[in-house]
Amino acid sequence: MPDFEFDAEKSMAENIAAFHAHLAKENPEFAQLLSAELPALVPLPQQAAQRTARRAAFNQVVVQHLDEVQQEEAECLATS
Amino acid sequence: MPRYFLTDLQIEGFRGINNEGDPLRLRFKEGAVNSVFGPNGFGKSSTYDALCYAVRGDIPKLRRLQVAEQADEYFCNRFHGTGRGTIRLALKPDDGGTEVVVLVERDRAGSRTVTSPNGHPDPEGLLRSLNEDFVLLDYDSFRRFVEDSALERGRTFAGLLGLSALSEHRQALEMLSESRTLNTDLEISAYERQRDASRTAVANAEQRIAALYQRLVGEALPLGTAPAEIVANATAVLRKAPLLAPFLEEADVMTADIDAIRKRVREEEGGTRRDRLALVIQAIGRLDALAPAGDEVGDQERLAASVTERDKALAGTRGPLFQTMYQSVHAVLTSEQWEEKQRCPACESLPEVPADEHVASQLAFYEAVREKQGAIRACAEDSWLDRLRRLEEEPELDIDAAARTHPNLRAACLKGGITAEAVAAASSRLAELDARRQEAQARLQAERREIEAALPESLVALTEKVEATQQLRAALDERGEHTATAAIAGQKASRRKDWKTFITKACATFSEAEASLSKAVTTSLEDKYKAMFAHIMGADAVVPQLQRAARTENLSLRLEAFHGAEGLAATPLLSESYRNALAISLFLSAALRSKGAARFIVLDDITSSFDAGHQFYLMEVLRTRVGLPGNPDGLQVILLSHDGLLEKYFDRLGGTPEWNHQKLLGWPPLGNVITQAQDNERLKAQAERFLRAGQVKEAEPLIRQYLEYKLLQMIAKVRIPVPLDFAIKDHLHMVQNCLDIIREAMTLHDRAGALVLDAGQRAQIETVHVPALVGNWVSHYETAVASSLAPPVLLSVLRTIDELADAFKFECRCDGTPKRKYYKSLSSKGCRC
Repeated sequence: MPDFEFDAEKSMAENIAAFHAHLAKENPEFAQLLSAELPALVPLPQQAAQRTARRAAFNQVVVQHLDEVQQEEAECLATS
Repeated sequence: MPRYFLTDLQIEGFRGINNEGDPLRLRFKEGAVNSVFGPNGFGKSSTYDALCYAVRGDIPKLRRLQVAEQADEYFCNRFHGTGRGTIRLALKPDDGGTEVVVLVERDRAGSRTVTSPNGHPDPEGLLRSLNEDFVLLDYDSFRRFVEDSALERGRTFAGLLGLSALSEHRQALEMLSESRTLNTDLEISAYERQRDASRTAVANAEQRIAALYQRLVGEALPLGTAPAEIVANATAVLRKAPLLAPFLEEADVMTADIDAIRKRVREEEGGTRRDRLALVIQAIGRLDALAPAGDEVGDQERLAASVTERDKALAGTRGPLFQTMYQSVHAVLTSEQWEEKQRCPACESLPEVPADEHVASQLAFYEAVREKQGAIRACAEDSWLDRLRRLEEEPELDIDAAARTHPNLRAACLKGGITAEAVAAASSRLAELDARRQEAQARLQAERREIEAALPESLVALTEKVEATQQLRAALDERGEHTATAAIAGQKASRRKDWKTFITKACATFSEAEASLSKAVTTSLEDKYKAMFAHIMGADAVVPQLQRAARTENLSLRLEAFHGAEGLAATPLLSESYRNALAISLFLSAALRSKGAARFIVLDDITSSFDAGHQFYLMEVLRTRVGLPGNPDGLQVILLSHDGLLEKYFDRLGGTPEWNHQKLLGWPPLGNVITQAQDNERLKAQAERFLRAGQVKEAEPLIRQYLEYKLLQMIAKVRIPVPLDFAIKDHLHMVQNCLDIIREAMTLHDRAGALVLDAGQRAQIETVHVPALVGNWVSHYETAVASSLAPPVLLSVLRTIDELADAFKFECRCDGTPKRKYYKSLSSKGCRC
């Protein structure tokens, strides 16, 4: 039995929101990052080069976020 | 949320429909099947294109053309005065709400504007909500569905089921969780390498700290001693020396002024030998710190392996020009513009290895090169490379700056372009420098012993302690720095791996849920599409079945039964008509399941592969199972067709409450397109306009259409029996044939004494109207032997046909007001008055 299922009675937008909510239970920080940035990727462009560029831009945002959070945590630790 | 019927469509200046100042107007009944018949070249496809543009913002069949065709310039009618195309739609909510009018315009430059003349707040949004995959279907939709790959078919079907949003999200998540690109984009390996190199440096520093502590304190350093304790113990030892104590009253070994201490010791002893001893001890300490640490051989082997794998992948590539070409070909192959994925779009040949497979395999080589270059870049942080740098910069080894190899080596690593030979040379160079280091160390140790022997013992020991203090401080600093670097790099690698785990799991969760829902919905349609298929094809021996893969988007078309056989593939086995029937059944079943904004479906020439019998079965499915009112929960069906046989069927049902039929007439693309059912007066008016302007050639086809329309109307209304040939062959519906049939029927009824027409009407028909039509039209235009007539004569033909029609009518006074009505038949009025 999978731990998450889509509901045929709900709209697609509701189902996708439910998916993000499910992810948030496991990792709220990453779930929020994904739900904020994923819409910019959908639908994927047909051309491979454009897809690669979109993926790289998405991962760049992820890296920037991860480093910023790490920096903030380090600063908090230093001041406490 | 209400759903919408399409009740009215007006088109001007778009595709083949000119209609300048007089838009083509089609009216659709929401509770009926609506058919529109148009012979070839009469604007039927343009009508479909206009609906595509209005709802989808584009015309897919034009978008699939080569760029050189400049399809964008052919949206608007080329002969329209303003060059502006307008499409006006009236959409009626199924909850009884107010009708919404939406006006879509496109100018010559290609810009699109959408407005609502009756004030809908978001007309473009409304059109977007209508854009469901099943709303506009043509023959090509079905053909492509059957012939597509299982993956593309699965994605198309997801759209039909209203699940395309899930399919698109799934594709995006699959792209994001691809392991190789994640490692490269997030630089996970590079941070892991940096962390490992820093840990090695920490271990190296700790070894030196232990040795220096032993020299300073005279005891072994207990494991796990904190840096503060090391500093405190070393400081305590140095404070015991009277010469050093003043320098350490308020300082420790980390903060004391070492230069001042050295100066003080020099003052005490004096002489160059003492200074040299200090330098020798410093040099020995530096060389100690340059001893090998960590698994250098392992690191070198890893780098060499990455270089070998990169070279192997590189051998499969053919340079950047080919890479650009493969990327371009791949883009074409994966686009909708190129349907035959096995054919190469560059040379249009059909290679033995399918073009899409070949191009994907070639691009994989380039991707592998990129991945290995990333691995090589990560090696630039390896500790053995850093040791090579420090050895080359060590003054005791006396290597000229120009002879240093490390800068080029590191640059090549960072570019991912280092060669196997360079790695081997660097490895040898490191070994050679390490041997020189050991030689220098032995030489310095000997010199140290010699100097120490010559100097007073107490100052020798003191000098040693001072230099050991300096080295201890450097080693403690180094350990601190590398510990911090290792921690940061480790955290970065760890956070990135956490994200990788998260996105991979998210993708798996989503894919599983999407596959499960799609499979469930597909299964729920099973009874419906099987029943439809059986009805259309009139056969139970062939039973189709959709199979959705458990974990992928692949959708296979199978045959549950095929004349006793089971589990066969549908696409290669079924004939074209069966395949289309299967696709139609699936699309219609999916459309009926939808609860989206569109409660109508437009079907353009979907019967092309069917014979008359199967066309009839399909129409029956549409009438009784899909469309309103046959299916109370069904859709408003709008059928566009050019098929003459189907038109008989449409004619037969047209005018009944459950069927609304219209026929396109006119003279596109220069003149107007109009509908016969409601606009025959416009047909006549247009012909009259041309005649009054002296444009006989333009008026002729309209006059012919109007005459045929009126004569067929008389035959239908008065129920005049016609021969079988006339009934089923459109090309026999010529004016002369119609007149002959009417006159023969009148003669028959007259001889039987049953003709209901009065004497005046008979005389008008026989002696005035029919001779006028034969003389002024038939003998000129249907025999093709005479030249055109003058406009006044043709205007009289239009009047004559109306008078002829009136001769088959009587004045009815049943409801008190006199009305001209057709006789029920040639032998009966069909009226009480």
